[in-house]
Amino acid sequence: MKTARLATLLAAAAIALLIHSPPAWSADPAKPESGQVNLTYEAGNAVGRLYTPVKVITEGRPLMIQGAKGKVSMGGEDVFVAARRAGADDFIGLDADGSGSIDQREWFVVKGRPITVDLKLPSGSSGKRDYSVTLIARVYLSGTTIVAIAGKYHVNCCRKGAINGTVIRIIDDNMDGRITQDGADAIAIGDSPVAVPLQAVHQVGGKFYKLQVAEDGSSLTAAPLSDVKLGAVETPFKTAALKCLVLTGKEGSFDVVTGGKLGIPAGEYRLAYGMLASGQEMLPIVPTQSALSYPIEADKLNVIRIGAPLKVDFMAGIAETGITVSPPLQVLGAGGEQYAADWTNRATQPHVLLMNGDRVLSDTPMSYG
Amino acid sequence: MTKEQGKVGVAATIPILGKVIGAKTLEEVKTGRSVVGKEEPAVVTKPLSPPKPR
Repeated sequence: MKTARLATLLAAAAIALLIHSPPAWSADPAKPESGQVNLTYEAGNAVGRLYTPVKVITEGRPLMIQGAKGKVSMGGEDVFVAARRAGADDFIGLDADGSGSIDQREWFVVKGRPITVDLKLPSGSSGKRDYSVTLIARVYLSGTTIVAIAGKYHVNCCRKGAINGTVIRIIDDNMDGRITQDGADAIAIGDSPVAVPLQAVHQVGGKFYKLQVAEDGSSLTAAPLSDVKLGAVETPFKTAALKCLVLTGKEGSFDVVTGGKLGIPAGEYRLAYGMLASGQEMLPIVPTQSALSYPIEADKLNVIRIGAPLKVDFMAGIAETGITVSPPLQVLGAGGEQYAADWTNRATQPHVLLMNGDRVLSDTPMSYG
Repeated sequence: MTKEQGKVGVAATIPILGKVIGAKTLEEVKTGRSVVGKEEPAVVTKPLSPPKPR
């Protein structure tokens, strides 16, 4: 009799487990549960203000069209883009609603400023999905003929949700229309303006979660991880101008400026990107082929080699007329990272030095040609 | 001036971090090879908390 009652109770419990929908997030932040999060579309300033790997490292994807019209891949779809000149103004048009033609309201005047365009991309057999891009482009003319449209563009939308009360934003950073967790897309967590490469493990609200994001960005599941072996990370930067320094690896992606003291999961990492900023000035820190790999040990303070001493790397050769110094110039740090300075500003024009030991014999502004 | 002492360099002023210099010896320019110095480790680890005094 006892056995039969126990079996009945076990069966009832099993049925209860089967019919139980994925648990909602616990109201008690101390007891996070695994759960499913529905993600909704968001565009605008909340996304536009974010640093993302693509925006920092390459300032967006290149936009290059030969002639006055062509197609550009946005959100995994080819979008019809065209240019025209009216009076003294250049205009760029996008078939934003996917109608097959560029309507009057889909033309934007080009004045060197970013243009944000909300798109309706094909979805399924007959549906549409929202997508948003920001582009900075120029129209190139030969006489009165448009010969090219060129510039950069990046995504300006995300899929937004919350894990245990902390807002997360998933960004299709490589603009292929699919969310993948191989570092090609990005995630911004909480109020941080720093979106890090999207991997499987992230720190959300002070806890580590394993995330599984649907490829269409409609939802994710998050499972809290316990017993994560953490190593604290410190950088030699002493400046408050360091706004973020993102390390990425198989263990996840983390901004060590905000999370380095608390620790990141032990493992092998490399630089994803960083940003120095002071006032209106910004200096991106980007990885190079020779950038170091950082093995982070658990239960240790890991001081990573990055930053000073910086050096200018350049090409040089000996010709009959003397020594030539040629671009590209790169400012490299101790970890092989590059400081992506804008050399087009004449105030920062490099100088060529001829030296005897450490003594400078001549100092000449670099001239081209 | 010897090849070892003679150098060509580039000085650049970059935002926030200021002046940065790079230099190559004439030998490096001629051969195209850099003289590699002693490499520091990528990560130096320290104990998380200082050891307790005895």
